[in-house]
Amino acid sequence: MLDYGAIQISMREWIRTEPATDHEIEQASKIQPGMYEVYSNKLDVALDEARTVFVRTGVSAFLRAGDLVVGLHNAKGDLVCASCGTYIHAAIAQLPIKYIIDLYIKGDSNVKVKPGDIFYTNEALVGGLHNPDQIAMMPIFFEGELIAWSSAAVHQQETGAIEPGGMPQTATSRHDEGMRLTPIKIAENYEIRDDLMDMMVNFISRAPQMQEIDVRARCTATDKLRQRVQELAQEIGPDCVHGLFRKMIDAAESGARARISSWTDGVYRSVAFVDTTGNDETLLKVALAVHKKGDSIHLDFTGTSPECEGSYNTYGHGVAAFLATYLYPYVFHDLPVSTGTLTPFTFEVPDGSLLNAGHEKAVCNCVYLGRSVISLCFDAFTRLLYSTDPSRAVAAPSSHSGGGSFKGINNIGWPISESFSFTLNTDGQGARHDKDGMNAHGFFYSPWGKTNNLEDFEEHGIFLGLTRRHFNDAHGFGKYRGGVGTQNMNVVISGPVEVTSRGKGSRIPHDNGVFGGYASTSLPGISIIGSDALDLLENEVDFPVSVRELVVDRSISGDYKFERINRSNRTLETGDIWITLSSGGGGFGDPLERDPNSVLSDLNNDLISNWTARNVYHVHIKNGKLDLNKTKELRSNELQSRLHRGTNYNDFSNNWSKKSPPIPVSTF
Amino acid sequence: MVSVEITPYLDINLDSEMWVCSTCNGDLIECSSNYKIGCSVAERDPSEIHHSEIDTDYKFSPDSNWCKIIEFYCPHCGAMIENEYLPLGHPITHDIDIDVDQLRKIVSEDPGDLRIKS
Ligand SMILES: [Zn+2]
Repeated sequence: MLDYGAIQISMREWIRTEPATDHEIEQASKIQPGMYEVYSNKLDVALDEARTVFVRTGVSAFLRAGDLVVGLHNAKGDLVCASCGTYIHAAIAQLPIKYIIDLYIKGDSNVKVKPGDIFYTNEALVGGLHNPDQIAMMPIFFEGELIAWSSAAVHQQETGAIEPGGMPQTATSRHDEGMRLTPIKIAENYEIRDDLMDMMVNFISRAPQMQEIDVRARCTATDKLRQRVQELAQEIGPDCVHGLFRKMIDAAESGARARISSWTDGVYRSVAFVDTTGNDETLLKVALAVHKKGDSIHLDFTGTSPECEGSYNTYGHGVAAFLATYLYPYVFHDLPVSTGTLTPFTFEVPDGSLLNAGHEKAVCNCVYLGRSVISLCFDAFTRLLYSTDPSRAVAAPSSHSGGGSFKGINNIGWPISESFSFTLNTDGQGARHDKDGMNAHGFFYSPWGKTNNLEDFEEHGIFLGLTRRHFNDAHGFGKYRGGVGTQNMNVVISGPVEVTSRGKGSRIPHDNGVFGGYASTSLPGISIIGSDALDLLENEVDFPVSVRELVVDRSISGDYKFERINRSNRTLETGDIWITLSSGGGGFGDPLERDPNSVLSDLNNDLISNWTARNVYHVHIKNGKLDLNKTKELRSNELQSRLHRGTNYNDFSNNWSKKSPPIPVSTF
Repeated sequence: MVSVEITPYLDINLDSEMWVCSTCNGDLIECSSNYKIGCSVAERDPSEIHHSEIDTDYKFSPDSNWCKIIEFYCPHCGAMIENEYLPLGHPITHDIDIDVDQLRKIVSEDPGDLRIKS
């Protein structure tokens, strides 16, 4: 019988590297200079090859965008190296493998692990973050000995849950989330089993073809890597493979510890707030204290709110995945993607909190909660890093954008369940210490992913894209501004289609700026029901392609709806318009220090409004011309205004502490 | 005088053991405390920074009933050292809590990449 409590404890232990065996240490010591570089690089190339195979054999938007990972693990399951894709699984892909080892190799079970097997899971408790994450895992044998594992993971849009799209806003328990498979043996003797494939397709009957094709893509990727690792074992011998893996994990750990040692000891804290449970409005808190001492870091999430009644919860191992998502692209981008890199980190995550929820809780929207954890990592680590390594100090990227999904019948008659992945993949990056954040830089869960072409999206024959462009004034302002997000407006050309959108932050933002830079703003969920857009297009009548202009100008007629950015499932008909928005990254530094020429340039590029130039940057621009003298005067006046506006801390606190929001912050 | 740059707006003076505004060199408060206690503090309505063309329940700016922007200025020169967005009444975050003894030791032994102003 499954013991949920024991599984949850094991998962948090299995994030850490398994102890090295004497055999591994001995073999690692025999790796000659040059060998390590050649063969570790060869494995990286094999991983990249498997990732390319993965992208080219699959079909759904996440997969085609490259928001995925292929991992190589040692025989004990620890991640040796990976090709990303998304870093989110880089910390946790090893968990379901350790689960299989524990139950089916070490345990007394009638399930055995044999050459040619592929295991498959989407149970968040044993390693994914939420059940859209489907993972294939293949044991790699050489001459009868288990020498390694390969893994391939990607988010699948459809899960057979109570709403289409895999992340139902109305979910309140695991029973609302659809298919949740603990690891099953999907393939034996190098062949995928028809009965288990049919079982999965039956669960995912809203998008059966996509499910089958993408399962095969995951399995294909693991098998491609399996072939390459066996070739390597043939070439250098299995003992040398064990030594190489050990040395790679150890090199990752020593690299991480050396980097951490160079930072300034102390405690660095931040808080973020979540204003939705999915179903309802709420006020949840995520708190982080980063304790840095010597070559280790302890992350303490004490103060985080209790688990919520909706689906914005995560299981305890999630925090490691969220940390990895911050660390690898920013702080450790030059270190191996390996379990060794995360070994210097320990975690304190209160039981029963949002970040360590019980097994019955819905967690399908955990990635939006995770976005808070990641924002906190940016906040705290940027303050930690600045004194010794400002080049790695970056404000938080945008993280409450409203991507979403749709379900309909495509142009060849297939039922499909797909993602508005453009919005996700065009978030703005946080500002850096010496330059603005990158505009529409991508999906921060997957910096390597790319946004799909408009043609990929339109060829389903369900929507026509009206607007895909930068979204002005939504990023964080500062001496260096956050990268700008995007606005995406689509009209239904062949209804009905079911849509949903995700996100948070319509009341309170949390993509914080740093050192006086502002956060990105809150965003609404906008739709126009019964629009005449298709008639206007037919008659070649122009209308604004900027959402901010359109909601004022209303030159497209229809019923304009302004809701929370996360909108539960509903049906759209032909002519209805669905708008998704991504905000921008946080700002860096005092906005009064922004170069007035950069403000003018932002205005000319339609990234900010005249209002922002005047009221936030205090720059004087008239008839498109910059007046530097007047700007100097305005800024000097604003410095004086600040001193008049401000009071001393104690007086401020006395007054402030008497105030309260409409919903109290949820506490234990 | 030995000062260490901690943020673009703050130094720690290891002689006086004070947080110092790096824009005007004015003292804020002892470096064992939260530097925000030495700042001039103001509450801003989110609509003062985030412009919204619409005034519906959900709009293009944060909800001012739910949160405010707290700004921390140097009391001498007005430079904005930091800000944070908080639900009304929520305690201020002590975001930077440096181990000053360790910092002093590192500065005297091997400052590495620290930027020292003397
Ligand atoms: Zn000053």
